[in-house]
Amino acid sequence: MVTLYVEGGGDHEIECRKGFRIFLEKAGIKGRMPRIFACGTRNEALNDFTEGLNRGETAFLLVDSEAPVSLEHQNGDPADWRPWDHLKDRDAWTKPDKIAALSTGVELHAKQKIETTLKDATKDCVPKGAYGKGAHSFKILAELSPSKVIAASPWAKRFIDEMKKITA
Amino acid sequence: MLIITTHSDVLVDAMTDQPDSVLVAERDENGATLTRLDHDKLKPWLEDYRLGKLWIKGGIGGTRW
Repeated sequence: MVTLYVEGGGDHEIECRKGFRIFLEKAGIKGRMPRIFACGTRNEALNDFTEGLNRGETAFLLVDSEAPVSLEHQNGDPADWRPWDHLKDRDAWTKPDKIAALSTGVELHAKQKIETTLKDATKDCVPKGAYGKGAHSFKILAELSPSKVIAASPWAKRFIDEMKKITA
Repeated sequence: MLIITTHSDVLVDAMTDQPDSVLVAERDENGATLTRLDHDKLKPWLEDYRLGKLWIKGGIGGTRW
């Protein structure tokens, strides 16, 4: 069983898991669908992921990059990119030892100013009101076209490619 | 013996101290399975979460999504 530990989902765990599940299915992930673990905060995601590794799981961690990833960490073949170096620089996170022994990894996506823009664009919407990350983001995730996301983000492509490989 | 089926995280929470009493029912392309929870394996997580919360987060299976 592959487990995907995702940052987010706080008090919206079911919506979070549903959004990711539908997105992954639409992206062509079939067969051994990963178990999706809605971790909540960023640090909780790292803790839960580390516990998963300690339990012997094949575990993946999906977290926001929170800031643009330095070009030096994403040079050449995507398989050789170094997301943990980014997390070390930004969060002072240490790469768990067991990652080297297992087929595990971390994937990043940059949210930049998307949230602010969405809130601004929807501030006058009635009755749903302005965009809220917890309430609306996972419904939007389920509606997204994976092919468009992959075309827009090489990190998303890397993530989906790795998911397909490990769940085949 | 009393057997209860539930989708209530509150009821599952009540089993936090005895997760071995819980069987998780799941279905995949190979059919249905029943898996008994393992207290020792869950122990580190149960120091952080009640069992029902761990279930809702997706940590023990038995979820549709």
